[in-house]
Amino acid sequence: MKTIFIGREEVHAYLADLAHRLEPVPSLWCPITHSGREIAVHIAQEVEKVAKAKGESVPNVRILPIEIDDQHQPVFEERPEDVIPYQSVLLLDGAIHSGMTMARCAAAVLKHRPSSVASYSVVLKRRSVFIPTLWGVMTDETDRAHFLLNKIPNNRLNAGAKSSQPHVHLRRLDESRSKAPTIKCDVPSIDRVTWGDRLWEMATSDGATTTYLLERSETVVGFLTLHVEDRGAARVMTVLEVAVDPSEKDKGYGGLLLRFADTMARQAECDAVRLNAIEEKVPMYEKFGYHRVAGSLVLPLEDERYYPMERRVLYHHPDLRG
Amino acid sequence: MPIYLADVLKNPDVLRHPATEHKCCTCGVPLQETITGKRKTSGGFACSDCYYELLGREVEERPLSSGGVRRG
Repeated sequence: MKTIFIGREEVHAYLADLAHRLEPVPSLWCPITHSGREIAVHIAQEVEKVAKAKGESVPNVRILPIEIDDQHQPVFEERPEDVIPYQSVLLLDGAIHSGMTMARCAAAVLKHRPSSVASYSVVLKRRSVFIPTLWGVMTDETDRAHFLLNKIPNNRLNAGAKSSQPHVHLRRLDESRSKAPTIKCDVPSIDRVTWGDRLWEMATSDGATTTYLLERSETVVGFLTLHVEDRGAARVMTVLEVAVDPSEKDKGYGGLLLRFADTMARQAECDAVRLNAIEEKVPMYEKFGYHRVAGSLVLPLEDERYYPMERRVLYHHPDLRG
Repeated sequence: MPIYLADVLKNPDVLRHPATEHKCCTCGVPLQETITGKRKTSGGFACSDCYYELLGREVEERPLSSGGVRRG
């Protein structure tokens, strides 16, 4: 995974090239969501420069923004049938990931009989299903690209500016902790496992399983166990365990452990994050974008029944495309 | 109200903040995928901070277990 920062000057260099290649300038621009609208602002400035250099006036271009609704469908800011027919359209986005959004927008525009449709994105992921007419930078699937920013968000173990959470860090479980008291959280299948058991699991998993301890100063306040494996065409990270000391609840520690799990999944180029949800919590995880996958796990000794659930990390998980 | 290129050149904000812009269903921050995160929840799209805060609370109440049998 790489973090790619495309600075303002580089973006404008790409957009200046685009402005020169848009000849004639399309009469209707359709920027897609926030990043498309931001790119449209900057392309407008480059088009103006080209026009001035030629001694011409700024072309008469209408702009029809597109938003994406909860069902991933394009929503036009104005009635498209009133605006699109016979226009030369330019679809604009900042970044194309899976390509499905751009593909849906192109299809929605084409329904209304434009004279032509061109498309552009500053960033294009290599596995996109839609390749636009022009693009700036092609990135790998796990890369994160930032552009037109004065700052880039750090990875972090805190809950953001809104939180007054104490500072914490993570430490990989090692021998020095093997005799420490475990965290008891009233879940039998967690409470019976010792740090020594988890160390053994790490040592015998050939690097696939790792337990991290969440520490505030030297106090262990929670922990996380991750397991990465290839399942057919997909690489999946399973969050085997997440627990926070009951006396440390409501400080946001659970959330930061899960955020770290997602960060690690992306870093490990996993397609999906999996967890085993106890039966009564399945609907809750569905609310957060997880869906059930085949199978279930019954622990008769603890009277616990779990269902595997997944949420995609990358845009091209074989089972989750779309 | 139609937007034209000349309007954007005079005032880019006419394009930057339309009424239909997605905002976090919990805290209201305008959502940008690479900056704030944009995560689908049953209540609508949420920023990453809110998503993890809400999901984290659930996990603190009911920790996640692998259920796997360990050594011995």
